[in-house]
Amino acid sequence: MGVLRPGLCPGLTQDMVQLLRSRGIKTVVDLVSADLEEVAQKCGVSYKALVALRRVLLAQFSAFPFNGADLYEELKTSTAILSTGIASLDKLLDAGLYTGEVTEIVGGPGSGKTQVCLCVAAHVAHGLQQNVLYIDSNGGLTASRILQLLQARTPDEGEQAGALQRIQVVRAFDIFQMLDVLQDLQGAVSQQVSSSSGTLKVVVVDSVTAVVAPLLGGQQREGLALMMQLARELKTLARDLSVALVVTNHMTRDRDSGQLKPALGRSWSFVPSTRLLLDTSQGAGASGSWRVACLTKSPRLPTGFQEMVDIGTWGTPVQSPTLQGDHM
Amino acid sequence: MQRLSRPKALTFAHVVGLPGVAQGPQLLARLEGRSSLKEIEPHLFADEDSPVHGEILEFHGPEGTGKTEMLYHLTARCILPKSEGGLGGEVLFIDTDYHFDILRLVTVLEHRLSESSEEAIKHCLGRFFLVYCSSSTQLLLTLYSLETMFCSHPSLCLLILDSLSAFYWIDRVNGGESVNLQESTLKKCSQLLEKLVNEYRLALFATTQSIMQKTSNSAEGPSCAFNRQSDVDVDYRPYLCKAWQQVVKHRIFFSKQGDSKTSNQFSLVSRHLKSNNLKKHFFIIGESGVEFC
Repeated sequence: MGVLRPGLCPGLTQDMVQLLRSRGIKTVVDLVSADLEEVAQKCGVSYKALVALRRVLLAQFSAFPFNGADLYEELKTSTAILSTGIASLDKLLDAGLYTGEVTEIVGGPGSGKTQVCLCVAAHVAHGLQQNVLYIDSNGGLTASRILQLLQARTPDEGEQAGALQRIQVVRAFDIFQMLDVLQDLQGAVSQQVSSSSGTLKVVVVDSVTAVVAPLLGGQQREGLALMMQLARELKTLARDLSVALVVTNHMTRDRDSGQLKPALGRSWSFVPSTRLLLDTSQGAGASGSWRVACLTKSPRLPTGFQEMVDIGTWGTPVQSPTLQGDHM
Repeated sequence: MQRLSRPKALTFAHVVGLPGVAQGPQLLARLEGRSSLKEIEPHLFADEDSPVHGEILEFHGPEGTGKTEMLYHLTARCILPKSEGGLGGEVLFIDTDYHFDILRLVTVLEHRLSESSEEAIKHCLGRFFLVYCSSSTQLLLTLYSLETMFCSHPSLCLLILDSLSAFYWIDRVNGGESVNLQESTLKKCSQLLEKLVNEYRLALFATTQSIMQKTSNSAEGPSCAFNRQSDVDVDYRPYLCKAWQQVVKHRIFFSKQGDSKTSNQFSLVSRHLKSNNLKKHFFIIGESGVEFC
C-alpha cells in the first residue's frame, strides 16, 4: 500500500511524485500526516491540489464505516447455520456451524478430529447439497473414507457420486501452499467461477497445526507473523465468502504446568470464534469409539458444557446422553 | 473484498470543511452533550463524575475473559435510547480481526429493550458504525479519514478499537531489524488517537490481547497474597510501543473466576494509572450480556 507512485490515484502525476519525494514525502502515510500548508510552500505545489490529493488517497486506502442497521440486514440474510450431521455436536454449537466464523476442533491424536471433519463434509455435501472445500495438510483424508460415510447415508450410487463431486480436496503441506490455496479461492469466487452443483458453504482445514507448528518455537518472529497472516486470510475468507470455516488443531503440553492445552499458543487462541475440545472418554462407555466433546470457547453460549459423541456410528443421528460435568 | 459497496457519491461529499475544524453549532452540541464515564457505565466508573475530556482505557486479558462481551455491553448502553435507560449516543467500532458479531449485539439489545421490535432494534443500530481494518497502515489512514466523521457526528461519544494488538507480529516482521520501524505505525496511531480523543472529547476503549507468556516468578513463592500489586500485574507484560503505554489513562485487566469450567463468573481489576487506584469488580455474562454482581 505504502509508496506514492504516478497513477496510484487520479491527480498523482510523475511530476507531483518527484516533487514530494524531494521533500521527503515518499509514502501515502507521509502525505496524509503532513502539514499540507508547509508542503505546499516547500514544494511549490498548490495547496488546493494537495488537499484534493489527500482526500482522494484517504478515500481510496482507508476503510469505510458501515452503518449497523445495514450490516444487520445483510448478515441476517447471508448468515447460515449448518448442521454438522452429529446431533450432540449441533447441541453444543447452538444448532451448528455458523457461516462467517472460524470454528476450531481441538484434540489429541486419535480423538476424532478428522472423523468429525469428514462427517461434516459428507453431511453438507449430501444432506445439505452444498459444496465443501477440504484442505488436507495431514494426509488423513482418503476418498474411500468419505465414500464409507456416504454409503451409510444412502444406498443410491448416483447420490453418492453427486455428493463426492461436491467435495473438493486440495492438499497443502506447508503454509505457503495453504496461503496460495486460500488466495486462489478468493480469486475464483471474485471472478464468479461458480459451479452448477451448489455454492461453497464449508471450508475445512485439517489441520492448521501441521503447517504452522514447524514455524514456531525459538525466538523467530517470522513464524508468528506467518501464522497471524494465515489467521487473517482464514477469517477474511469466512466473512467475505460467507462460509463456515472449520480448522483442526492438536494439543500440546504446557511447559510450566504440564497440563494439556491447544497448540499454537496464545496468539492463535484468539483467532477462532468457537472451540470444541474432543477427548477420549474416561471410564464408562469404553467401547473405544465414544468421545467427550466440550465447548471451550463460544461467542454466544456459556462454555464448559459437554456431550458424549460416538464417532463409530455416523450417518444415522445417535441419541446420546447429555453430560454436564465440570471436569474432563 | 467488501460486500457493501462504498457509496461513491459520499467519497467526495462527506468532507465537511477542513478536517479538524468543527462547525459552530456542532461544537457546542458536543461540548454540552458530553457524557461522563459514569453515565456510560455506573458500576465501573463510580468515581468518574467529570465529563469526558478524552479518556483512553485499555482492556487487557487472555482469551475467553469477557473483554468482547464488555464491549457489547458498553455499546448497548450507549446506543439504547434514553427512554430505555441508554444514552442515545453513537458508537464507532473499529474491528481489526473480524471478531465483531452483530447478531450477538442484536441479542443483547433485544433483551434490554422493553419492547424488542425490529423497528426499535434498527433504530438503535442506526447509531452504530463499524469499520474493518486489515493492517496497521490502514488503521492509521482510517483514523485520519474518520476525523471528518467525528466532526459531523456530534453525538458520537464512544470509540471502540478491538483490538489494538492484532497486527503486532506482522508489524514486527515488516519492520525488519529496527524496533523503531517495527513500532512506528502503531506509535503514530497512538498519537493520533490521543489527539482525536482530546479534540472531539471521546472515550476510547481499546482491547489488547495477552499474547505474551507469563513471566515466570521464580523469586516469589506460591503464596504471594501479601503482594497485591504484583498479583494484579503478574499476567501483564507490556509489549506494545511506549507511545501507547503513555496515552492510556485506565488499564482494566480481565480474568475468569473459579476453576469450574462451567462457571460464567468473571472479574476485572480497574487501575487508574495516574492515581494508581485499584478496584476489583465481578460480573457474569448472561443472555442479555454483562451483568455486574
